[in-house]
Amino acid sequence: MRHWPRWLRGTLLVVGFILLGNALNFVMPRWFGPGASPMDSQPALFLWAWERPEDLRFLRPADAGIAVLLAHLFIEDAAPPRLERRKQPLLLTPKTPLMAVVRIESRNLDGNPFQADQAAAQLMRVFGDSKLVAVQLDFDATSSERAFYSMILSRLRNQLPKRVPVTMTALASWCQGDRWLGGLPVDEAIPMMFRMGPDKAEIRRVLAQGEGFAEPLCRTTLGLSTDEPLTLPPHWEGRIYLFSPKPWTKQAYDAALQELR
Amino acid sequence: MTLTRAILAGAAGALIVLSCGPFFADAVFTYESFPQFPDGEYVSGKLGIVAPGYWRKYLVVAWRTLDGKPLTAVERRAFERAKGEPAPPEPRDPWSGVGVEREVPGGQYQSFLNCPDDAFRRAREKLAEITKQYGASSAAVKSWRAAQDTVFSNCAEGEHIPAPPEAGLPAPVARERRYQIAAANFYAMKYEVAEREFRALGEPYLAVRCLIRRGTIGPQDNAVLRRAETELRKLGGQPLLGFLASRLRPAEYRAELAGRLNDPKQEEIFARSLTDYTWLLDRENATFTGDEMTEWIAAVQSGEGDAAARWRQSRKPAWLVAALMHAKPGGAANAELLEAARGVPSGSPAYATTRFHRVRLLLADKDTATARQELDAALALSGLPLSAQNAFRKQRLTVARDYGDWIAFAPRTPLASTWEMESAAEPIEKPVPLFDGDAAAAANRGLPLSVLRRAAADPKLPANLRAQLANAVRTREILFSGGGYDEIYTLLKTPAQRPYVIAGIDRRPETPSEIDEYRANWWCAWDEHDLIATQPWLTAAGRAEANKELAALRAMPSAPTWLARRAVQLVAAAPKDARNAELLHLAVRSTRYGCTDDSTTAASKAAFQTLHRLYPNSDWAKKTKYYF
Repeated sequence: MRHWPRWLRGTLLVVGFILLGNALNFVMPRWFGPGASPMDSQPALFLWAWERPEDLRFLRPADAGIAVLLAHLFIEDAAPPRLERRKQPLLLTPKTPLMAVVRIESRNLDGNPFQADQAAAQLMRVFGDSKLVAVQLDFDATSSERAFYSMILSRLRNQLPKRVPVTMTALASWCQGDRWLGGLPVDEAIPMMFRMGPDKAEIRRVLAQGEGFAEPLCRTTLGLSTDEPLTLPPHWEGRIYLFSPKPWTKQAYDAALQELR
Repeated sequence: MTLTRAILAGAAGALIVLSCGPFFADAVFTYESFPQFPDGEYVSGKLGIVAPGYWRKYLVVAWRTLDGKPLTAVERRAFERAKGEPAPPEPRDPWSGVGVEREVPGGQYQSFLNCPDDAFRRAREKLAEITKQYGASSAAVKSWRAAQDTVFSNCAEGEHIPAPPEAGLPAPVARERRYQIAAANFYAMKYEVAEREFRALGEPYLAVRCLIRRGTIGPQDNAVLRRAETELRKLGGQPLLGFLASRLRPAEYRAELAGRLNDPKQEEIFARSLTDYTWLLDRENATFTGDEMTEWIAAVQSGEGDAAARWRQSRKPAWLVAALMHAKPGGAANAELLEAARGVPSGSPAYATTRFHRVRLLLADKDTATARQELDAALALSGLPLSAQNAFRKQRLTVARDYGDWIAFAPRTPLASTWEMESAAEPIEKPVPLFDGDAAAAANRGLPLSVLRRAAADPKLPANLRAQLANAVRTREILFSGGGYDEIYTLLKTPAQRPYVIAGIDRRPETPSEIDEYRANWWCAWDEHDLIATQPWLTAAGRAEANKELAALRAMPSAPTWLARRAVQLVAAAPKDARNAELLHLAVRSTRYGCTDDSTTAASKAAFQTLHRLYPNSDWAKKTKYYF
């Protein structure tokens, strides 16, 4: 190789670095999970506060964060998306980490880029609050709606400050066989491990064996509900989102913590 | 390069607030939350089997009916109106860009509807009136419009007040400006200012609206609301008085409403009374004492209290219903409750509910003969709602005597289909009988192939159910025999084929060869939590046959694993078959789109490697880039 022309050696070196970079880019997330995320500094536990009166003042800021449903976004046909804000009070201790959640409901949505612009604009009316530690979208997008969802996420990511993480809920299938999340501009996707159908046995088996979800975005979080067994994979160190079918109480929270331990 | 494994996906939704999807159409055979609909028959007094989970407005109807006071015609119409389906938002042109919700001060992340639809409607009407009077390009209209834009700019935030009327405006428009200024203060949440302005305009009702907003947006201010109430009473007959009573004296008002709902002379206000009554019971701190109907509703819904004692005291059918609903097997009061239920005549609105629970308790006591007899009598009645028929048929199937009983009671006609919550169910226009969960479990995990074959050809079963059984039989035959080349090839091209029947609606695509995008393709391995559903009416030989077959099925892997292994074996046995490359491609495809298990990847890899080793230049090999 020493006898090769300089230009050839240089070219090969550059090509080699490019190939190595691509290989690492492919391999690293699969071997080591996604890299550093703005969510890394957020609490290991978030409680979902849904559309009902919630008094979470029993939580200290260091205990957990709150992911509060602040609005619904309705997208129907080609109509401009319609935002309906939360109507129920949420009481919390000052300085509790707060993540804003917006649930998207769709019906025959058109899904064109202009509608995505409008949807993102509506979302920013909720997500633009500088006090939020992160934002979250909850949307059970069908296959035909995924491209539209991607458009919304891209627009949102561009409009939000870099320091604000964007997260999303995910069907368990999106994290395993039906993968499409790769490349989305989100910091984490939370697999919803409750109200699963007949396939739950298989998905739980995969996690119980410590295999982790195939989709890297799904590997660091789990979404659980207090009315189903709060089973964690072995040696779990990721973040947990907890849902309660009834308004949260300190008793319910303490019981959930006990079960998680 | 290691490839991603495809694992069975899908998180089927359920009846939950969080609404996780995806959702699939499901058949509804009985309702837990409300009677079958259209609910006209129920509201007219044909109650069927009342369930404890019924929404409270339906329990009000049940109470009235059981108490001998069925709803009058006026009340039935009012009940329809009180269903309260939210109307779609009205267009707000020319203010369609205005946000209508405003944040409640106080940092509780709560908003309220500040500018409702009727505000925009009235403004549109006023604009039309002024335009007609003065012309669209007149200074009057332009001035009015600019002021109204300012009014509505307060809907979402801010304090923007229109300027006083400019000189030269027609007097009506100038006067109208005063209303606009008061309205702007109202929407800007300056309620005390708005109140003064409305009073100065001689509009006491609007002034009271300011008091109500002031007393309810944010922490409730009872002193302000009591002032509003006093003033409204002087104005006379306002619906808002109920609104105020529900906030100031919820328990007393609730009892007052219960009284109105049980007084047919108050039928004209039935709709409003029902809405307010159920709203009050839905509040978190609602009390359920103080009147008999509310106490009955609480007993029905929660099982708390001593409904049996109330029945003994009153001998009312309603209390017998409540007592039976929550009676547990072996309960101390059961003997007298069962005897009382036996005496309920078939024409009574309490019949279906009391009969259902009487049978439930008889079955728990293993008195199958009496249960069977009473179920046959109930099912022979005409006019029983379909949901009640389905519930009785389900009970009857548990005491099937023989094959004939199973065939007779396994099929059930669904009431509706739903994609998510029960409340979103839609009636099926031409329903065909289907298997419910219990019948499907019996077919899939309790009957031997010989019985399934017989049922698949039995004209007493509807054609669709025979077809499902035939599919299951054919697939099981292939599984037990190992399947020849043609069978495996066809099976791989028919993702809809499976060795079991479906409970409810088959959500698979109509074309059997089409891959389902939510992975309902072929079949999964037996779930360890699914127990064998032994059918007591089988002969000993039949049970032995069933157990042997089911044990074999339980030991089998999921379809893709089994199919991929068979494909590799068949290719080895028939190396010259022109379909081999395609067969192997289909086998690998099945491991991507079908249910998997621990062995699927190995089987997928074997099929993949065989394909690429033996047929590397084939189109099928080129299409098969990965194994899963």
